Amino acid sequence: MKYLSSIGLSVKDENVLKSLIDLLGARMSEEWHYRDDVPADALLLDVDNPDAIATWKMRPETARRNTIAYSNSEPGFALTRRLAKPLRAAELIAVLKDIEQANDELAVPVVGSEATEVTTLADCVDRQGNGVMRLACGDREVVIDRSRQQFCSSESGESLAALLTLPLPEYQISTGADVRLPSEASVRWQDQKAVLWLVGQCGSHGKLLDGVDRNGLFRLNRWPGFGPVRPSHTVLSLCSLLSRKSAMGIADMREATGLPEFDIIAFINAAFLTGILDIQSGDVARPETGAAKPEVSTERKGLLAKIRSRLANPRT
Amino acid sequence: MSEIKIIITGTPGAGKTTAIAAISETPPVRTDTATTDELSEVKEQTTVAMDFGELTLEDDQKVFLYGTPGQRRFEFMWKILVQGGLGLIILVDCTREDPLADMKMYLENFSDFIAETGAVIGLVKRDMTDTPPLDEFYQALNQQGLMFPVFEVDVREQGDVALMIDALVSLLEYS
Repeated sequence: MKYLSSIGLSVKDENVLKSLIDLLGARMSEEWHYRDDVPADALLLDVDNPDAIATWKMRPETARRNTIAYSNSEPGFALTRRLAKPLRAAELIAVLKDIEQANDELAVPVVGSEATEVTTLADCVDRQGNGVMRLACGDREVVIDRSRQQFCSSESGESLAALLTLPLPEYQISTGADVRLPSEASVRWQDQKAVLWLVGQCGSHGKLLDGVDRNGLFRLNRWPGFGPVRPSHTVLSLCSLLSRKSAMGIADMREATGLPEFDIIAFINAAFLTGILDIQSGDVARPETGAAKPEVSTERKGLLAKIRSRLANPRT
Repeated sequence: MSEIKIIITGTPGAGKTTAIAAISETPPVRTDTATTDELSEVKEQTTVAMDFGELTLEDDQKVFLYGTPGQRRFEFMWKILVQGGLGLIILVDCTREDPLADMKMYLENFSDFIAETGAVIGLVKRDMTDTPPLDEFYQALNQQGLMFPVFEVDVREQGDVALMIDALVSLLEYS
């Protein structure tokens, strides 16, 4: 069973959508339902509605996977799946089938790898090692040259992050000699750490990299350079937590922050890919139970949250 | 209700006044005077008491931003300004002769305050000259048993100043 949800649709569009979903029936290989109260497998976002986009951006990455841009015209918004207004059954079926298929095909072999399978972009980039890799989706691309420790991309900022969020089957991947490098004059090469950080943050999809011990204890040896995308509260919290003298396990991090494991894994993968993560075997003596919980009073937590909120809403 | 304040310190000319101006809701109150020492070659005026700016939170509570005078001879002011402070931002001017030594000097002088709170290091003007790599700043912190964020920042940019404060707030909550 799969669930579809929406953000920012008019009442009329939402009613049409619910009716169409009810009628899909045998045309789909999975049974689809419209639900707002459970994690959705697909999300229809009215990108003509600025409030809807703002709401969408505040959702966790897990809730933003498989977002379908719903728009009057070609949206200036980096989402692969699109539906034009008004809603039409055939187009909705096509895009939902595409999502079903993408999920089915998540396990694909990485080009140039040692015939092992990878399921996420983060794994794919991690296993690529020191070579050159080009990831493309339509006319958007990223080229990562690990030997020169540089990358270039047609995208920047949030649109680069959106490109790196796609499920692995959606990329055309070429490596090594197959990569046609853009001419030096046409691109700006940048430090690869910025894109490796984003690959971990956006392209992990809840799966820890193969080289990372799930039961390990983690600590940062430095803070990340965040590159083109401003770090979220989640990222800053985890950076602070892993700056402590004692290394921490995933369960400790969950307990201390209340964050979902999906976000913690994205952070660990990003830190691992950028070389700022120290990992101790989980067999070493663990900190005492409860040591993970920072002793910050509710009043102080409230004050810090207000300062954070103020910084997120600058006044001019 | 006690005063909530964040302290910004650092080398003379690092941009403490500029950082406060970049994020404060009100024009910063400044206590500048003409430079008379060796700094006069690079800076016409310098802060002698403090700079002061403010942020208003959603419940109208104020967060005060205090910039210390940079020169070491005003050390007595540093001790006064940090009393009751939430945390410290250290700005290091990377065009100076030995930015690593500058950072260590501030870490040492504010060590008691930092031990109780936390600190964020902002490296400024890194694009203007050859400076030690970021890793060397982390090594220097590590040698003192510290692990604070080190950011390359442009203190004229509100976003960069906000990032330093945001990181400081996270440190206070989780580290």
